[in-house]
Amino acid sequence: MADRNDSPSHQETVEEHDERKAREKRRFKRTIWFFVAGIVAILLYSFAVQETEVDLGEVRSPVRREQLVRILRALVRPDLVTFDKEEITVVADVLVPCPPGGNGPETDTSETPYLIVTPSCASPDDTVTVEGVGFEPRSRTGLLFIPDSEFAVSLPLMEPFEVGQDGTFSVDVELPERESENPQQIEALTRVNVGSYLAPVQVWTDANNNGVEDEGEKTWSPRPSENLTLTLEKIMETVLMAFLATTIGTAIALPLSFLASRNLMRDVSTTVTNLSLNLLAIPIGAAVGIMASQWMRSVSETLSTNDWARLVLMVLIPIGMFFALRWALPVSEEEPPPRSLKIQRNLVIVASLFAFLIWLNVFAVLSIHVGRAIAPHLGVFAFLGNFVAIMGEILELTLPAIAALFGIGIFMALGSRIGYFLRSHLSRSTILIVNLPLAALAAGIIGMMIGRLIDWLYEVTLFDIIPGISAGTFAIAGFIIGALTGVYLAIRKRTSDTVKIGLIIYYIARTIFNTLRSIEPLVMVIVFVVWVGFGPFAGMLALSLHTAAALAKLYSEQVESIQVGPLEAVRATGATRLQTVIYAVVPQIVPPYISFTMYRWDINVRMSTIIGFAGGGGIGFLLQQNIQLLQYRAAAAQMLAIAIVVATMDYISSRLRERMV
Amino acid sequence: MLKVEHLTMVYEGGTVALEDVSFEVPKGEFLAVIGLSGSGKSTLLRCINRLIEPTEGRILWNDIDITAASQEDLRRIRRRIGMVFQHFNLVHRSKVMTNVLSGRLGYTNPALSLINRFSKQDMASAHHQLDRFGLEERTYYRADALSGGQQQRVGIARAMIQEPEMILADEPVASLDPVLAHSIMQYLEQINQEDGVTVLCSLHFLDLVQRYSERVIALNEGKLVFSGTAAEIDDARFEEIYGQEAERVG
Repeated sequence: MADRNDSPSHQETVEEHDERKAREKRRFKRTIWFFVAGIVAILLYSFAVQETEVDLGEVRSPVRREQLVRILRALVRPDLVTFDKEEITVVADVLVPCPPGGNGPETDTSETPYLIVTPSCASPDDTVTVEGVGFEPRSRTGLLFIPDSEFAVSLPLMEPFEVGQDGTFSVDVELPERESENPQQIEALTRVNVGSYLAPVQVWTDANNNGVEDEGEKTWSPRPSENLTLTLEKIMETVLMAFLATTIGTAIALPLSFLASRNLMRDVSTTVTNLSLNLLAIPIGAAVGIMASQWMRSVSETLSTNDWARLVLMVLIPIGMFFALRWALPVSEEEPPPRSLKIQRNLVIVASLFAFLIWLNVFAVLSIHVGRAIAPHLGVFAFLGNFVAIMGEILELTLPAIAALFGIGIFMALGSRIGYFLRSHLSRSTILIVNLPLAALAAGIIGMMIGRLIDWLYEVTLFDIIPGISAGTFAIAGFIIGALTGVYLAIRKRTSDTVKIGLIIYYIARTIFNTLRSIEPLVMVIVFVVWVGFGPFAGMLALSLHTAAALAKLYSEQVESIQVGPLEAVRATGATRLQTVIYAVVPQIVPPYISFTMYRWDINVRMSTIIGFAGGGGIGFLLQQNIQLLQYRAAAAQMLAIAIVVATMDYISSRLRERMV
Repeated sequence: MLKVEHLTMVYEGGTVALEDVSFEVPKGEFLAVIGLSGSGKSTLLRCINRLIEPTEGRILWNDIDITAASQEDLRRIRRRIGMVFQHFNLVHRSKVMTNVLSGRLGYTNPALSLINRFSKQDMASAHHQLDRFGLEERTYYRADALSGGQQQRVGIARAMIQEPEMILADEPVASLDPVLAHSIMQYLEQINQEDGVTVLCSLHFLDLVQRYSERVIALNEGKLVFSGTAAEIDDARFEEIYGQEAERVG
């Protein structure tokens, strides 16, 4: 009955059958996969163990174990303090050789520490046992033989050894070949740490072997050892190196991170005409900018022959600029101004930029002068004066670059205007024809610049193509390839009007950041050491570069994860792209940016502790030195310092990040 | 006068969001846009100020072709079109004042707005708008410290400081409770009647539509299926707009 009742539901339909088969097949497949994966894993681990040369024999060997114990013991006793030492001498008489009576002198055991020599008389070269009682536990002790002689000479009997935990020792020594009828002495010489707060007394031994007490310079005992002082100095250098590197890296990463954010760059597109004009603006703008900076430098030198004149310019130029820019940049405008007014305004802005270049020049020179002048008078704070001078020098050095950026900006704006003008005044087909030579020229010049770089790197012979412009083979090839690419793009873009320049910049920026980020600062520092020499400066530069790349990536990921709503809302009000970024993006990314910067400082401190291994200065340098000199106790002090600083940084940064987000 | 002619929008991947939509909105009208979620209401509103680029068709506003405007002209057009959003779209970490002032960015010199400088008139106007929407005490609060209704009022203030001729409201009350919904709708009504601002407002609830709108257009799967007054929406029309299985609520 039951069978019959159940049978219809148990009767497999064709679909059910297929499904069951498929399921079984899947299960079988999965089993096979597990099996294969297991075998692969075993192979991989075996190979890894072989390649990493895992050797348990080494781990077990007594010699290696002794080494380990030595290092561990050194690590727990870091070289942090030094004590003043007091020399304690304990003597016992001994007769060499034994007198006819046969007995040597008795030892006075009433006061500790004392020495017992058994037997207390022996022939030269005989072995006697020297026992000591009541010595400072673990103190290093040397045994000397003081012969009966007019001269104060003493013969070491053996290498210095360590007294046992209970303050006793027992060693066998061989007596020297010094014979005398009078008792001679075996002396135990031990240095004891003076645990007093003030250790004014120094003990001397004068020429007559008499102990002399002398009032030395008053010092604390125990006091920080030289190693500790050096460690503190270097750990500070390390932290400051990390701090500077983080600041510089952040400053570089901040603006660049936007270029590497897909959501901001995705919609940036331009026409072939505008792209070509903007590309042309880069070399032209840079050249004009650099020329302008040189020109303005000579102008500022003519205008200001002494520091007083510079001071006057420092004040006058900003005032002039303020009024000029207030006229040229009205806060808000209902309607677009007439063209003539627009041109006048732009001219005033350009003139202001020129004035600003003069101001920067004057500022740089003045900083250098002031910094150098005040540094000697500041005493401990001389570094402040040096800082001002160095800032001035950096400004003076980067001024052409700043001017070049200004130039590129101005010419790009001009290029966009021309592009817009062309688009609104020419017919579509005319623009397509204009695009051809424009794109060819722009891409050609970019190709030529890249080629010129290759020429320079490979030291290719240059020759003048036209007066003033020299080029090598690669530059010419670059021009031709670039021009062809430009023509190709101009023709291909006939149909779709825009070039997604934003995405192109995005991919270039991402590639650069990822490449730089994947090179460890420890490797980068080697290049910088070759350039600027050993020391923390090289380490700082390497860390800065790596920080810039790493932070730019982290930052851009933050930009990519912002809420798009506010972005849309601000865009809808008619804001420009830059305004949208400032008002809708920046407020959203401030907390994660701060948190990532803190985290990066944390990483940089950790990194800077070892960057010294590659010559980058900081505490790593000291650590490496001590390890190589087998001074494990000194090295232990540095390891301890690193551990404390890193743990503290980690704690502080995590607390601050918690508060920020 | 806003004229939408044969507007079609196809998203990347082929989703047709709008299909040949044409309608007109006279100046000063309160137009409700209704339809199911995904029917293309948001896309339609965003096409009007070109936050989304339409694929085909033209949008004429005061005889200016928005769809053909250059980026710079578009910015000039956008500043006369305020927009209000379902999720308010305020910058949470910024002050209420800054959020409202960002409505003036289109009028402000880009170089000066970068250092957060707005003209005295703009500041005064921001205070006036905050006053008008009962937010004067919240001026220097962070936007995310405000309740939903207050945030939406900030959103309206941001739109109004643009001195708009038209406001696009994309489901402005969908994330608010019914009481707040009416208060927000009353503000929009006030703006429409007192300031003569054209309002295009997408809505979910028919009672809100009937109470506040002069005219209704309805979208279904990207097509315009109804255009008329709210009173004309009878059960048959309702089914046509919302589908067979829909039931009237409210």
